[in-house]
Amino acid sequence: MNGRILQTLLAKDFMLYFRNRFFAFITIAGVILFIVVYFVLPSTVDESLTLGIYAPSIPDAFLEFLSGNDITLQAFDSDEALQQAVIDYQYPAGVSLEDNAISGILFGQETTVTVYFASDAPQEIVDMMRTVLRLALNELSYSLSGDPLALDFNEQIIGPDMTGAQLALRDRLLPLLAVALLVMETMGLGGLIADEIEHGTLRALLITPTTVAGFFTSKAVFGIALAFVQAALVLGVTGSLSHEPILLLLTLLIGSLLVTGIAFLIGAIARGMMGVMAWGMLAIIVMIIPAYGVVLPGTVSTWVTLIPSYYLFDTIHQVSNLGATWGAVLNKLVILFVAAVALLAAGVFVLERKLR
Amino acid sequence: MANHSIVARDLTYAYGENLAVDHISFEVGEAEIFAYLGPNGAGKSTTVKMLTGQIRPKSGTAALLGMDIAREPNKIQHHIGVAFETTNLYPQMSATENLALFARLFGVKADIPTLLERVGLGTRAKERVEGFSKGMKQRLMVARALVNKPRILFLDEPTEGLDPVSAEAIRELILETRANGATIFLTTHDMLEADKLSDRVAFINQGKIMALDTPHKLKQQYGKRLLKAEIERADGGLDTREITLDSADTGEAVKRLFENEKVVTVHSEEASLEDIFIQVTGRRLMG
Repeated sequence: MNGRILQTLLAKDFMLYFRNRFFAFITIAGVILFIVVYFVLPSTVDESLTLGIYAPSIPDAFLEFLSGNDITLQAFDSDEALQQAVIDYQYPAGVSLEDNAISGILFGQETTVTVYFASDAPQEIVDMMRTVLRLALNELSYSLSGDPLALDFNEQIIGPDMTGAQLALRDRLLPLLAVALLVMETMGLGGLIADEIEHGTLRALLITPTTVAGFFTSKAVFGIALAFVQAALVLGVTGSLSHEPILLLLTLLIGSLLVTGIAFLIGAIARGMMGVMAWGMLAIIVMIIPAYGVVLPGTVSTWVTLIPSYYLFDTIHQVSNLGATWGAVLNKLVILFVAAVALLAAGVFVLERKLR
Repeated sequence: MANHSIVARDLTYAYGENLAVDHISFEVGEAEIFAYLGPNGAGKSTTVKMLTGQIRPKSGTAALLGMDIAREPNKIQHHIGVAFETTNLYPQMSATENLALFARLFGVKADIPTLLERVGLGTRAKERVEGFSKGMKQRLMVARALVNKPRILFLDEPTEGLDPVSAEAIRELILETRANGATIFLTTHDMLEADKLSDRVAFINQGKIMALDTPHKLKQQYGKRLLKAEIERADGGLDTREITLDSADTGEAVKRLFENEKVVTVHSEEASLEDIFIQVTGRRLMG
């Protein structure tokens, strides 16, 4: 297929896409809305802290010291209840002061205090908690026994280990926003393909020098470009391309390939716009599931790694939020690429069978 | 061969076990209007699909303008135009945009305003096709088929379901296109249209060509010319009498009719292509 035909088909697809009011609206509104959502969400983490505590009797000196450092305590009836609250992300940390720990402090003996940290507690909070607890317990030791404290911390991270990597909500949501734009294109492109088949315009195109391969190429180029530009725009405007921009853009490009393959499948199997919507929504829901693992760590199981979009979300999250570089995400990128090529090949195969 | 635009030899196609086109052979001359007649499911559209390179024949060969359809489909596509039976325009585009798209795909500079004038859509050029009537869409389909100035024009049921004005406009366009030197392959089950327009007709039934000749020769070969007379009975009612023309005693029979009966009306009647089709295939065209 020559460049003129490809250019003509792309111009046609662009025109038809944006003449469909629904797709034009969700495309433009989606980009704007997602960027607005990002900036409306809080950009900082709340620094006033509430600490969970299990202690049969909480010494006053301990309480006074912590309240002087803007830390409030929430008492629990048992060590298990305290741990569960930390696992559930209700508190970034919890301290367990059992009777033997209090008596150890009281008699100036070497004492071990158990501290639980939530897996996504940021490093600065972990460090601060260590310092504050040590000072508070030291204060307690002096006030009770007059001796300096011989204290050891038994630190336990519970829940998935995200220590030091706590993120603002909007940064957690960023991969979701970017990938949501990508996967929404499954409906847009799938709709265009289904329309061409349903209205018989594809038959008319194939009477011209346009070939089946040319048709696929134009649709793939259009789908990849449309999805990629939107997602890249979101990352660009939100300032997320400052770290490893080429890696992030490559990830989005492979992601665009992935959604184009899905769009081919939808275009081949859907009948009419309702069919496109139904299959498209199903694809979007499945594709979005892995995002929960990023937005809410620990809420999804490992089976989400079977969904190709997991590698898309996770790579964007690792790179844009956690500062990962090529070496850290290369294997995921390869898996994503293989899945994208496989889906695209499946889409082309099914669509070609349908055309014949 | 040199003057043949289309040459088909033993062309065959099957959908699974169902033989849709069964070893058909024919030629279509340059600037000829060739009508391909048959009922629904007879194999008309399958033949057109093979000739236009949409599907590959299971066996047999076909050449358009001397080029083999299996070996040079892309070359052939530059020289053919196809107007499909069902509307397959881009409804969100205007009439002009639809034609411009296909002109670009063919790589030609088409005089789109003139083309739209020819099909009576000059004043609707900038309107989106979704607001067009069926007749307007059909005329635009024919215009689109002409956008690359094809040397062979395939028209699949071009006037089906159209109002008389739109149908006549398309017929005029067909004749005008032929006058400009193009070959027309007309697929239809409208016998009157075929009779009016075509130089030759082929009857296809169950994938086979049952008869192929000029309408005149087919009528001569299969039909009977009749004289139909209405006569008044003694009780005032009307009866019909038929006298076969072209027989040895035709003159005597006519004389007897006028001598012995009270003739009210007299009409000569030719066999129609429909009658001949029924005679040849044993079935009607419609359905």
